[in-house]
Amino acid sequence: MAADERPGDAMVSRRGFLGWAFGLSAGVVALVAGVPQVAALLASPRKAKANDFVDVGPVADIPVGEPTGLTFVAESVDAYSVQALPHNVWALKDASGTVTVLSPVCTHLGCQVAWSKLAGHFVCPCHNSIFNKDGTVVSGPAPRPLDALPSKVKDGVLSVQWVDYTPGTPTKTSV
Amino acid sequence: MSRFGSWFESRLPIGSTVRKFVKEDIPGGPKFTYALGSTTLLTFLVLVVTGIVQLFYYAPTTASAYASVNFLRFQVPFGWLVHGLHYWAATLMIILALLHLTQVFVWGAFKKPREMTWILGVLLLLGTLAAVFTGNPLAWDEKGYWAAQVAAGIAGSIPLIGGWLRGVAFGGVTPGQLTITHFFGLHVAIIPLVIGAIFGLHMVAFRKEGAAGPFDPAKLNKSGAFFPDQLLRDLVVFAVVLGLLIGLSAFLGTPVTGAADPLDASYVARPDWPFLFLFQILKYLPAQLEVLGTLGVPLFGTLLLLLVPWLDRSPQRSPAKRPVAMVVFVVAGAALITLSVVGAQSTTAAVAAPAGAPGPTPDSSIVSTPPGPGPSIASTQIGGAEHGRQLFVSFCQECHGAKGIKGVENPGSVDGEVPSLDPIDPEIVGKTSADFVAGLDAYLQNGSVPDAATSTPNASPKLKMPSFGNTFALTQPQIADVEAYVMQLNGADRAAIVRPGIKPTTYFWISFVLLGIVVVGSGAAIVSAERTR
Repeated sequence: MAADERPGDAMVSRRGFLGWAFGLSAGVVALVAGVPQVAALLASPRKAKANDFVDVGPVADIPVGEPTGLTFVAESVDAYSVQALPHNVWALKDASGTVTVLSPVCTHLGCQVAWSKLAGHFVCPCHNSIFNKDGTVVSGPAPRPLDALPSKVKDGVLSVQWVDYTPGTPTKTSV
Repeated sequence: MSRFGSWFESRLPIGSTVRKFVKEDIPGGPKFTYALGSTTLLTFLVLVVTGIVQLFYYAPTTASAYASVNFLRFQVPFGWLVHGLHYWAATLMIILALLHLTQVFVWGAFKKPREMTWILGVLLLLGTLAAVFTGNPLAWDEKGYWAAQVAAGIAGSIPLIGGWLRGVAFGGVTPGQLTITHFFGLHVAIIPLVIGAIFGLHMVAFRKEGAAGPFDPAKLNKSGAFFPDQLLRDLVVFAVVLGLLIGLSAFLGTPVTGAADPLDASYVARPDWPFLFLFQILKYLPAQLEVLGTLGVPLFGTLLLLLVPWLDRSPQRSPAKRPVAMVVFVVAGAALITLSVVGAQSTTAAVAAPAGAPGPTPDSSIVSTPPGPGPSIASTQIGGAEHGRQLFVSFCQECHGAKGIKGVENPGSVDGEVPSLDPIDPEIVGKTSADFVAGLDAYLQNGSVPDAATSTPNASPKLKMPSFGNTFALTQPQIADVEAYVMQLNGADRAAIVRPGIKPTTYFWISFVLLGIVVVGSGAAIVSAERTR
């Protein structure tokens, strides 16, 4: 107990008050300096703007009934770096000629699924999620079917928009 | 003490501070088993030193990270050792920390009044795991990339805060440039500082009560000093550990898994070994209970560890008198080890072949953008031979035969069969490693048509080498992997150390002898001290 404090003193002592006041002031100084640092660290980057549709090839080249791997390069913005990134998608053409384009990103945790001719299924190498050729789940931990990507056909050419969907959730939401 | 020495010491009392620190009585006498904690610390220091050296070569960008790591370990003198020590010391530090934790638990050394030492120790283990987790993707190789990809998926699937958390930790939706810079900042600045700070507190708490000593009071009558009795033992243990680390770096090196390839659907992503048990648990859980594995188990396990001093409250320290605690610990440990081993051995349900399924003509892949001119990306990357082997089975084996030893028949060609790859045409091998890569690369990128047999002038060969690069049937990193594998078949190492400084095995034997002298000398000192006691 400090010398200037008297036992039983109901009032806050001078030393005690100074201690509180100093602590508070130092705290304010630290907050002024520190909050922006923490904010910069914790800032979630802005949502990227939607990608453009990219032509991936003539619809006529896609065989009917079997998923076909399509590879295309699309410009994508990653923070400050603008890169032409390759993307790999799976196109399935039904008998009527309608094409569904599936994202290869596993809906479980985001690994790349691939079509296995041998098994007749899409297989994810990470946690063994297995999907039918239309993307519906056969087995494994995947919470939803493979995501269909926006696609359109113009003058017989298929174009696809690359979209990232949140893995691990039962509902399909773009991120 | 010299005049200068006493002048100095009276103004900057380093000597007396050190003496005060090392002059500590060890209850029950010094023991080799007490070296676990100090060896964990020394291993951490190895990581700090090798980490700082790596900072002089490493480039934290998606474009250069992999190449910069390869430059360090294959081109910089002793880079193989710097990188190797960092890699293996990280593994060993986790093992040592776990052994240290086991020892403290079994000996009941966490009990009152040492609860804070225990809690800070658990936090140090978590910090070390965080360092391993953030260090792994920095090389931006296949292993690190896919570990980051799965971790980003896990972070994103956490309820409520998942999306935000993923954004903060990974700097975006999928692993990319900001993931590297964020992980880099965490790995080289924040996590080591936090580990250092917690370690300081761990020491403050430890020195407050001193070592717990043997749980058997009868053994407490022996005594010894931290210096030299315990430090000599610490030195022996660390010399052995350092020799082990150099040996692992020299004989096993560090894995070359190939450049990160976001398109690759054939790489079997596995987390680093300390996280394998979580990976295995995930596989047992149905989708709706997934969060139990990603969040529940780690949080519950951490909480359990932190609360150990309050869950096992009896003042008894002897393991024989704490049967419940021992059974729980052994069961938990056995479960962790079993899950990890099963996780490490697990394979995928079916071997999936990526786009452009196996076969002589990868016609199921349609390409919209052909690659540009100049040397291919694949020829500039050091591929992973093991991943190349898997790709070879899917894409090349059908024509070139298992391990490329004997190709199948190819009627209509001059050779009459598909060329074998082991041994491969000496013209492709060339004189240097770069020749070999370039020779292979031309075939893999563009394909080739064998010369037609002269006896059947109008017939063309039945089989031709398809183009894998120009058609995107294989990605550039995948081609680099296949090239590394075919080189390996022919006894050439794509990841050969170009400038070792001193040859790794030679350096190991030099250090073996020198460290051996230290071990024998210190051992003799320990034995003679024991005799005179």
